[in-house]
Amino acid sequence: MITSELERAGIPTAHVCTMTPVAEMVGSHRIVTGNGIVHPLGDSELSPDEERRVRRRILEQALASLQKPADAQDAQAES
Amino acid sequence: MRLELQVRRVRDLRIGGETRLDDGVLAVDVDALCSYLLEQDRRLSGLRFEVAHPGELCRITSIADIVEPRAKLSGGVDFPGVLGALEPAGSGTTVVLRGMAVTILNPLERAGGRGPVLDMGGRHKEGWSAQDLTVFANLHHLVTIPQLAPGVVGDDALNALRLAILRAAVWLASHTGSGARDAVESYDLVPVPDLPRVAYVFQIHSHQRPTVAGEPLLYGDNARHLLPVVLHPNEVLDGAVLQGYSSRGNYIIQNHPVILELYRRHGIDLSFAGVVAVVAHQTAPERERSALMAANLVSETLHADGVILTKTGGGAPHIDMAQIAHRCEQLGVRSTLIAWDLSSSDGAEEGSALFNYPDLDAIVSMGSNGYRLSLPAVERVITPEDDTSLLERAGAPMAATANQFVGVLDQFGGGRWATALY
Amino acid sequence: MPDGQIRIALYLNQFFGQVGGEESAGVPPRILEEAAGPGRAVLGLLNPEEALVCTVVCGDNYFAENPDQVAQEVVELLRPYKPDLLIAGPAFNAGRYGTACGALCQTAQNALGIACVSAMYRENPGVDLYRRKVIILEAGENARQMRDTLARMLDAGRRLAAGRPIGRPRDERYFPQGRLVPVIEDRPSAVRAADMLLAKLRGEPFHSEVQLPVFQPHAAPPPLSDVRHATIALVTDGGLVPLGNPDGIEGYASTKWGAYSIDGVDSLNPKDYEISHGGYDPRYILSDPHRLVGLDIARELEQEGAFGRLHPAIVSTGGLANPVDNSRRLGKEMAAYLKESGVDAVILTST
Repeated sequence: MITSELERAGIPTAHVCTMTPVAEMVGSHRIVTGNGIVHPLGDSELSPDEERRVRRRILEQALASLQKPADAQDAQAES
Repeated sequence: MRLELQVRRVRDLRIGGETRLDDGVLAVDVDALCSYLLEQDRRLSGLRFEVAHPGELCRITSIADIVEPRAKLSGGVDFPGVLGALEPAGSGTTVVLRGMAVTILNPLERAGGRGPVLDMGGRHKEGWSAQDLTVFANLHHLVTIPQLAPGVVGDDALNALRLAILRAAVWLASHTGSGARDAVESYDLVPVPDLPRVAYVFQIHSHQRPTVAGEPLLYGDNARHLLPVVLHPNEVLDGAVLQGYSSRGNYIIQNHPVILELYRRHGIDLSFAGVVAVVAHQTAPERERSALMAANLVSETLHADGVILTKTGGGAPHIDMAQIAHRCEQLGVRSTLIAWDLSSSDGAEEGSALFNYPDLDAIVSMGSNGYRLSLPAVERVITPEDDTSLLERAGAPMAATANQFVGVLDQFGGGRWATALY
Repeated sequence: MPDGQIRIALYLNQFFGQVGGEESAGVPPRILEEAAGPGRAVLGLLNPEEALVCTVVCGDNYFAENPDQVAQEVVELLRPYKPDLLIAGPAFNAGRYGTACGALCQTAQNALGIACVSAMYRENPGVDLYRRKVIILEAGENARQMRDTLARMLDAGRRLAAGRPIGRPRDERYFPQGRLVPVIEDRPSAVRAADMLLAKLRGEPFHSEVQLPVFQPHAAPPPLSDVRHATIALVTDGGLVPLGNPDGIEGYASTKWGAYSIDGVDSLNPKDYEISHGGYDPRYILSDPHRLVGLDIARELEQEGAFGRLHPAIVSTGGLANPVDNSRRLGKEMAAYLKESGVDAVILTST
């Protein structure tokens, strides 16, 4: 819902989250699938280097989505 | 599978003397109980006990669990996979001390913080009594305040508390297991072919707080990635299912409101088809897999015409519940959900829910998690703290949202606290 | 409420007021001396201490063209009759009539301080426009049950005029006014759920206790045209705050947000942060806050030129179980701050 308000104000927002149905329901336009509720930009089961790679991949996806029109979004990300 | 509960009523509770239940008065030899518990688990270094009665102006803080004293007399073991060997739950006979609970406090609950509290008496400014708000205020509590051995912290401590209270519950029921019964309850799903079949989807845990190794949920397993599984309701009633460390009232599973209601009506206006146990997941793919498998079990295995669903944990698990319900509806199984509403104190209608499937048109409210309830000052506080200034603060009037009070947001259907649409 | 007589006024459109049909829809409001149409039925339903003191009639088009002003006009016509209660309609499924009834009741409630009741069919546009402020009873599509509907309107109106509380929409059959009120029910939710499910299975009517919200769609902001010069802000509703939570952001139903400087900082030191969000196990993020706010990688991307610059603060609040109206306000405030700070885009991470 915060995302909706940012978007209503005209700020393109990449929403990294796991509860994607909520984000869809409230109308977030640029949804990027995070890697779990307790570590959306990380993974406690990976080594620090692997984690940073996961984080980079998700942040790059977020940046990419900010540069694409909202209708051209892919809802899925590879896990 | 037939389970018989032999009920002995407790109308009063006191500490001291030999452990016995006569004419509804339970006396507890707490020294014997203490020795037993310390002997079973070196992670505990000491215990003290207090008693709280319904109606007392007494506040209990830092509650880690509330359990009804029960002990198997035949046909199984107590809490299989946790205290006892892995045997099936749900059959045989069990003695139950009804009207009371053993309750354990968490001495590590954040210093100064009080955790969710239980008020045993008093009235809110809205006119509600403590008994209106939670079933726990209707019970006599034997409150156990443990001291943990040095170095026992975190999940290890939580595990010690969980096992201690389960052991205490079994001990108490075993020591008062003989004597007159006030009631005998039988739980047996005799087939009733012509009535609508109703299943129950029971979300037993939310992995917003992922369980850790050894955290016992289902026959002692931590259900970390649980795929939907069919259970006989007796298994739930008879100790196969426990809540995670973050939940505070296994009493509600032992006396599971939805299961008991479906049993009550079995053969009258419905046929209780069975229980599907699920968890709320951390990740989207797991959530979707769980939804499709649970709906399949409800529709194709249990052949249900209708399904009731509940959730646990916080707000996000509503999504897991809603996805299962939506898939059930798509398979032709009609659903009813018990959910909370997310309105704030000014009660704007829009605040209500975290999901929006139009076919989920039958939702029962378990109350508002945004409304601030006010509690009066109390005369007595039972808490792990010794600090008198903290005690004073804990006993003062308080206003907080419903989730700060144990048992008000009763996620398994036992509460009368709700939100009405005006 | 004065002693003695309860003074009731009735509002009708040109048709029910027997002025004329559609050709008379433009007539201005006037007081009828004698009870007409439904007014006669009302007379038959009154208690001895009640009186129908006047009937006011207005053309549907006249009203629809200027509802607020015409509502005021009608109120001024009513004022000298000192009514205690206004019955408007029933309008059934007549849209202009229903809108007029709703507007009149809302205005009369404020201007005269009197109790007002209307009644309409659920699809009448007047329902959604006015139900939040006006008690609108559920009525049928047409006038077949006029007398019965009038009786219900009077029954509800009497209680409202006496200052007595009116029951719940599902019991009294009026349209919900959109207020959620905590209550203690007579039966636990498990029993209510079983009842509701069986009603649903039998095809009997039932009322859901929780209504699903309708989220108004909004347009997507256009994409960044020049990412190499864009200022990006990292925002979270996972409740990451500096140690000590200086702004006191609540871990549940947060009403506050904060902006925390990361100027010249390349990474988040776990010792400097805590989590104020009761809805998830925070241990993984406490041991490495980058798992929520990816500052380390964001700085790398900034240095590589993937975007212009990182806004020098992290913006944070708690997203646990936050009522929609709270979240909206927080979002609006954050948006204002971000725009003022020249931020072009946001990466928002939720748990």
